[in-house]
Amino acid sequence: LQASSTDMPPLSAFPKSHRVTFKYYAGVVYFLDEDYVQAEAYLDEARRLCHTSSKRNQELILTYLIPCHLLTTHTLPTPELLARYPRLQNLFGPLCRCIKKGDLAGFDEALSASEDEFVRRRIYLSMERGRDVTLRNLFRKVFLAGGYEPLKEGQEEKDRLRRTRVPIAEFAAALRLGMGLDREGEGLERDEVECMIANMIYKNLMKGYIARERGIVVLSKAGAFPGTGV
Amino acid sequence: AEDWEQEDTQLPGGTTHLWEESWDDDDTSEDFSAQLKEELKKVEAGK
Repeated sequence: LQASSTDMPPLSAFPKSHRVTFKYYAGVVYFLDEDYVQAEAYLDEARRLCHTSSKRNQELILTYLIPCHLLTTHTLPTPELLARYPRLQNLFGPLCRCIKKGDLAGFDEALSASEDEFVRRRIYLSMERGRDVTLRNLFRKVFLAGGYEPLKEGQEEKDRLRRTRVPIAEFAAALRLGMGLDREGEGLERDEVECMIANMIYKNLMKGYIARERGIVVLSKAGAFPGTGV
Repeated sequence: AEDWEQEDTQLPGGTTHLWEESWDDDDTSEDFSAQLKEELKKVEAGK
């Protein structure tokens, strides 16, 4: 892809229509190579160069840019962005809502509902990885629901710390709920729950460690869920 | 080939607000959070 760059005038010498096309296809190639950081850089440039009135092209660019962004920064497109493109709204809207809510059952449903379209556009695998972000958001809710530690002497309201020791049983309860299982539910051994938590920590979606013998997860006091404001 | 001015590439609303910045649902009273709180109480009680 880069081989011819020495024999050619700089890309900026070409008309924008060619540049958009080049950046778009280069971005898609990187995307299919799973180099999401490079892909995002190219696609974002394509988006910036794209003519305002060519909605279809913007849609195509965003079809790959949205999964890229989800994987590189774990953030979602805003509802306003999706609202401008009905096709993208259909494709990503339901999934994004579930990711944001931490709704695992809904996520799985939305993913399989759009499976054909995702596979056709070759974004199925990338979107599937959004499940990690959904799980992160579900666990984050457990953390938020845990409230705060009682104030220590001399501590002020603003330094109040969230409860960072969270029983594994609470995560398990959230999972049962999130996956729509019965309370005395099938499956979900404690080991499985621990495994999912360990995965989150490994992927840097959660910061902390599991204290197995005490059955709790000790979360970091500073940014237990990186990039989410808590 | 077609070319156009930089001005013609600006989407309405600019480049801001493309991505969500916050994960917090504005609506804390939504069903799931309420259900979760209930469920956590049961966990607490079951200890």
